[in-house]
Amino acid sequence: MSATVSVEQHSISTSSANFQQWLIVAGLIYLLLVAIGMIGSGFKAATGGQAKELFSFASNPLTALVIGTVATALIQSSSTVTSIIVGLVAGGLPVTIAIPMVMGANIGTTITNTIVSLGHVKQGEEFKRAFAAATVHDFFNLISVVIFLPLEIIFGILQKIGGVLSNLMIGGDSMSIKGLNFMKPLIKPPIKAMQGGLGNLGLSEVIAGTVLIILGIALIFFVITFIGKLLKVLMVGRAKEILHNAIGRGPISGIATGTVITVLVQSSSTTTSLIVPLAGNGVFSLRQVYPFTLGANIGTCITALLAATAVTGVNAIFALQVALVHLVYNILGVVVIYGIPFLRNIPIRASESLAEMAMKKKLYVALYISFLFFLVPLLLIGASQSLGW
Amino acid sequence: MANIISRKQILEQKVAELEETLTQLKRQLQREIEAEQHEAIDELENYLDMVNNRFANLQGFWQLLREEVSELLKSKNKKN
Repeated sequence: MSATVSVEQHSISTSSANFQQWLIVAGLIYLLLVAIGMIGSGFKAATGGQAKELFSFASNPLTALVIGTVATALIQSSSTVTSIIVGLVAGGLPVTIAIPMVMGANIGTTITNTIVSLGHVKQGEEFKRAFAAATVHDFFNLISVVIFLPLEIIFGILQKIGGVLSNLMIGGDSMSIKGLNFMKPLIKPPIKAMQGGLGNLGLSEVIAGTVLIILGIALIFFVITFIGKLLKVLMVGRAKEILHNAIGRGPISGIATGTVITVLVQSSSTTTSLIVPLAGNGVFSLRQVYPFTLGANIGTCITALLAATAVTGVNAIFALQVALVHLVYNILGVVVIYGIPFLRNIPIRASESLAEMAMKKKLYVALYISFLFFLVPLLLIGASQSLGW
Repeated sequence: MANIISRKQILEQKVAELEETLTQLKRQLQREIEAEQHEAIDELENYLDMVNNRFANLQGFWQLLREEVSELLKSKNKKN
């Protein structure tokens, strides 16, 4: 009897703790939206609507791609970088620059699971499997950029699709963004209060705007890190359930599972990193974990979409456009690369070959990471600048 | 003639039996693989710790890399 009472009390206290944690998650999402609004408002104040000139240094798509890659590799969170990009678009960053940045974020985020795979470095075959499972994501994202960046530069294909979708959702004549935006009354007051506070300190509009941008970026860092930690704990049970259900159901189910888990934990690198030990111990094959990583690419777009809802004013449609471009880009990547058997097998073969080499000599791992995430990006910038692109 | 037909029938029957056994074995293997996969998923909390210990992973890797590079340099010096 006393055991039953104790179990009941434990269950009540657990659900009460969960409820509190969910309240914190809701509060953090609100703070994320405020942070996006702060960056947008900060840029408008700091640049006086001339943000396009400020970002002219990144007008070359290769430079923008590199910025996205290196920033994400350093921060190890594509959600943070894409949310900041959405905030920058709200402040006037042209969509044409934001799109390659988002593509770069996809490449940069793959560094996290590569580092996770290094945890197996002392176990020969296990490391080979883990490293292949981590780098299959890298090669997929690289091929995706090789296919879609030139198409984007020449035809603006993603920008056009994103434009049509964002117009359907909030633009056009039938639905006014002003009429529909219920976020504005929730988000604007704290931003206005901060702007007022900074103005009261006697700061010029440019400095106050810059302070607001820095605070906004810092807040995004804090929120996404903290929300990721909380959701990992809250969602691990649900993630297990979803993974159990996906077993033996094929690649489409794998992609869907990767997407759902990433939406639940709000972090693609968590999903792709969780897969690494599962592949490392040999229980899941590389071909089985590959679709999960692709799902993670799709699921991670939820953060930028959420961030875009915080943007108000004339740039709101562009912020949504970039968030939708991120989603369309990742879905098209899966459809084109995974859909065509020849392309589908390239990341598998490349990651297996690299893992074979990495198992024999760790120097290859160091060279691979430094080349992919740092040296090649710098060389790309140097080459494009010297060619005057 | 009748003898040949019956031999053919016996062979066909054996092939069918082998195919049935093979299918059953494949199913059994698949069940065992899936059981292992379910067990591995139940350990997901432990894998979360690995994800959180990225700095330790890098430290371990760095140590191995230093050893490998110093060995490489030593062997080069010996050759020279």
